[in-house]
Amino acid sequence: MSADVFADVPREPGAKKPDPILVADSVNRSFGGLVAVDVQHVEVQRNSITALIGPNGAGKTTFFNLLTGFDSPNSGVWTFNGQSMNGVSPYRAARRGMVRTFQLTKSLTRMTVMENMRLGATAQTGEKLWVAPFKFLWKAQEAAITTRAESLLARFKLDHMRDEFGGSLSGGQRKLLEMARALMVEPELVMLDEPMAGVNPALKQSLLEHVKGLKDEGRTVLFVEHDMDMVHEIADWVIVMAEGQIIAEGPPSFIGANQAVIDAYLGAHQNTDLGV
Amino acid sequence: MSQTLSNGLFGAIGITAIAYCLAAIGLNVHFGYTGLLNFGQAGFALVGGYAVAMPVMNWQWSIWATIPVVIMASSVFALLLGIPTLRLRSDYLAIVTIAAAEILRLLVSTPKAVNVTGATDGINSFTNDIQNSIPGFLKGKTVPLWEKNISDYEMWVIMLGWFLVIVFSVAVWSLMRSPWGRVLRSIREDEDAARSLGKNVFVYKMTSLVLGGVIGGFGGAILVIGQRNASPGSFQTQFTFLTYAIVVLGGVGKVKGPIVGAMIFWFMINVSDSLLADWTDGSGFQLPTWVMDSSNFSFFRWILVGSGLALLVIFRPQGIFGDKKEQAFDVR
Amino acid sequence: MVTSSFRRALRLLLVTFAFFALFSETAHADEEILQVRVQNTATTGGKKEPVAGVDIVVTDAAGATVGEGLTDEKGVAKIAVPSDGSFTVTIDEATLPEGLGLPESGASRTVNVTAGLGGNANFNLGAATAKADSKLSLLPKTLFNGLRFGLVIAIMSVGLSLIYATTGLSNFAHGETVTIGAVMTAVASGWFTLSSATGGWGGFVQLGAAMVIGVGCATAFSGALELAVWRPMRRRGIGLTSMMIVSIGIAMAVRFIIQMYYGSQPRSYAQFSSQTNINIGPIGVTPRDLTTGIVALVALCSVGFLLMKTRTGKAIRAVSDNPDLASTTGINTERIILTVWLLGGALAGLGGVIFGLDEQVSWNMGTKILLMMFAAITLGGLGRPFGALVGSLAVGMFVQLWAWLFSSYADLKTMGALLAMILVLLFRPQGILGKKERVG
Repeated sequence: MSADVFADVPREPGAKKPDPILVADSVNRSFGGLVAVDVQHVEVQRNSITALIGPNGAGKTTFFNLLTGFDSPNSGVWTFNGQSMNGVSPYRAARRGMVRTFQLTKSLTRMTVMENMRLGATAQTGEKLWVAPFKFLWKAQEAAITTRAESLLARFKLDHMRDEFGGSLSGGQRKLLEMARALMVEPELVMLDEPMAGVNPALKQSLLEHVKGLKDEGRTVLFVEHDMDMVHEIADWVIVMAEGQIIAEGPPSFIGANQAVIDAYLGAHQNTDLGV
Repeated sequence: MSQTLSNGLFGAIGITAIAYCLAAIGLNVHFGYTGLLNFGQAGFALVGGYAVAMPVMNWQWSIWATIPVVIMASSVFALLLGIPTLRLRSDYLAIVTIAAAEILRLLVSTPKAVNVTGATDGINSFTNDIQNSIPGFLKGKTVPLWEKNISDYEMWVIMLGWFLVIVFSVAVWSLMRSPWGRVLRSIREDEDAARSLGKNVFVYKMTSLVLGGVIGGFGGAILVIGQRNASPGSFQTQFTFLTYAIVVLGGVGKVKGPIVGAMIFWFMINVSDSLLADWTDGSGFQLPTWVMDSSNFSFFRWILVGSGLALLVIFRPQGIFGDKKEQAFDVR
Repeated sequence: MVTSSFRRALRLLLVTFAFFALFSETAHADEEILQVRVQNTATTGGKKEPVAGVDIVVTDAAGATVGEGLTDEKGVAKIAVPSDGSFTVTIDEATLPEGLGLPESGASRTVNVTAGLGGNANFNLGAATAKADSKLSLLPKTLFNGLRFGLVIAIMSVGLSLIYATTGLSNFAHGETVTIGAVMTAVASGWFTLSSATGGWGGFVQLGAAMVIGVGCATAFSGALELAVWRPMRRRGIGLTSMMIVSIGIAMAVRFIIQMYYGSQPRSYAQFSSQTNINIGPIGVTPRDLTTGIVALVALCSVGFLLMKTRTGKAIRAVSDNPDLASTTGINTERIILTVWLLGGALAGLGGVIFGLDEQVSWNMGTKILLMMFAAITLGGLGRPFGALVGSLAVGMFVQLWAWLFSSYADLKTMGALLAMILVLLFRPQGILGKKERVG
């Protein structure tokens, strides 16, 4: 089904997509003399699962940071749903529907799992200073948020941990919490930065199912990964970055055999299983 | 002994304890709940104290009319402080806030300003309105507290002060259990996580700074009213350090923390002062003079405070009311 | 009889006196006395003090000098003028003592001398106020002082900066390390007497020997804290904010231990306290200030050499940059950190002695300078040792330039440095030499 959308998309870097949710042009980020990101053109297809892969140091996380406002580029423009995102601060990007997770999970250690989840909900009247002291004004909304959080936690099999502090969760559980919390925001575009890193194999499978589920809900997923099995299993489209630039685009099967990709990886990681 | 304990009790509920309690409630909002390393709380107290004294002395205002001045002046100072610094790393924030408080103290102390601020001697006669407002049941009486006798003026200020403590504690409690407070705490944990969830971190930090600063300002106001004197010597960097000690003692991020922390802190200081004075006055049990004598025993309290603070942070960072699970205000 | 002879002698004496008095008066029948009083009103107590040895010249309406005199120990000169009338009384400015300047009305006064009564002129001297041109002439001295003060701050703050760079800790106890260096040197100087001279080589030897103990104590204090407090805290994973608050507690405890046992009274070192200026170009500087300035410069150059050219220095820089990476290259980070604490302590102690020579040794001298040190390293860029140097020079300059420019607001001179720091951070959050990383 997803392959149909990409049927006519050329397998080349910067390929135009039929219905892009995210479009970026000439985005450049340099640190002193080092060019971290130098993307000419890239588009992410709406309601698809797109993987962003590449050797370490390729600039994937930096690119994430730039797109979501956590970093400022030296030059470049990008739009989300047609709206320009230049100079938009991270919290605004999140409010517009672009939510990201972090490579090093940021589970709020001294807050409980449930509080982590409630935090994610948007448009909370109780978050306004003048409303906050009066519980009766936000009580009902809080209850609704809690219910939603409970069902999400149940989906991610974290509901039994709801009153545990974020700091006492295992690495894999933190990844799950980070993803579940991001979903509380009801994002249009979910940007996952290495969601599988450090997660045990048993959990990986259920995570994959969750990500597929996001697409069924109508969301778009863009994720960074090193785990090629995951990429092959769920990605509709793959974008490959190396040394800050996009060197290849295409469906997973195409990428595995692509010479440019092999060179880029072999140059850096001789032992990476490209899953061919 | 009963004299000592009586002094301690008086210290625990007296003007100084109340002033530091309010400053600590404010600092708890900054540091305990939001994770802001504000080292300029002395500056907020100074602003509040002078916001009361200056209008009365210079323009003959009624002291009650200075209440909005305290709020406004503290808020302005918070804004001036926050706009440049809240975008800085926390280490920078600490240094800049100390510097800002010190700049304020220098400005107020300078001889050139003597007609406006009273310079180093400060402002003295501004409390008549308070004196005149002492209610009938107190007027002219002295209130006995164990072996201490409290004057009617002081008792009245103590009552007003504790009223403020209760009001602000309730306000902080109601805010911190709300979603608004939850965002503050998330900022304390990880700002970027809060941002990625759509929270405008800068506005929250700023609001926290203003709120905690205003409460600190009222702490300064109570101090100057109680002492009947507003002078820069009351608001040195040491004031901020003691406030931190109280916040840590009571338990960072807990509503009861500043109240109990301030009371226990000043109880212990006064008891130790009393005991040491007794042990160096030449009669009864005496400490060897090379350890301590009547000329230098008054410095011992600060050795106690300093080492106590260090030990507390190392061995019981959650203070009295803190949760061991939510232990330490930061982990590597 | 005795009484009557006595009375006769007395009578004779009185007559003689009267005769002489009369005779003197008639001999100077037309001369009048012009009394000139010169006083100093710029004393710390506000009381007027007499000024002796000031040369007074009295000229008549035609400009001819008619009398001259020096003020005595009461500040008074009684100058005889030939007649009554109008005269001009002028103070010779060159004979004014150092630090006193002419009154606002100037060096000359017109006085009317009345026949039989004489005349009066009063000169109330004030502090030597800087007039437009003499202000400019003070600039070279101000710049030199700023530079020297900056170097002294730099010695003390470079250690602070290295500690921050390698461990991330803002060490509030650094001020007390400075105080310990100064105080223990003063105390040690009282334990032995290699030389009781207050200057020259004797003084140098005595102070130098005491310094070895003083700086040694500061170094030991610093190192002991690292071994007993900071290292265990790091091992337990306790965070930096906690460590900073612990350093505040330790600073408070140490400060008041010093106050308890050294006393509240500031004291000077016996050596090198009063010296006369030697002139180098437009600047007059005491040999003491010159020497300490050179010592500071040499110390800083040595630290710079250490950091840039030695293995230890390179290791320190590596750990400052990235401790984890540094340890993977075989650098023993714990040992480097201890080295940094010891080095920082020694430098702070040395700075303390110099500071004690500049001003006085007191229990809170370190606390007073701590804020300047933090301003310096923040201004220069947190975590950059060379930034500490740049920031310290900037702070030193700011403080002295403020006092020169706004002499009537000299008590606010530290405020100038603090404001400068805040302004720089507004536009350049990482400081002058700081690494540009995302802040906030």
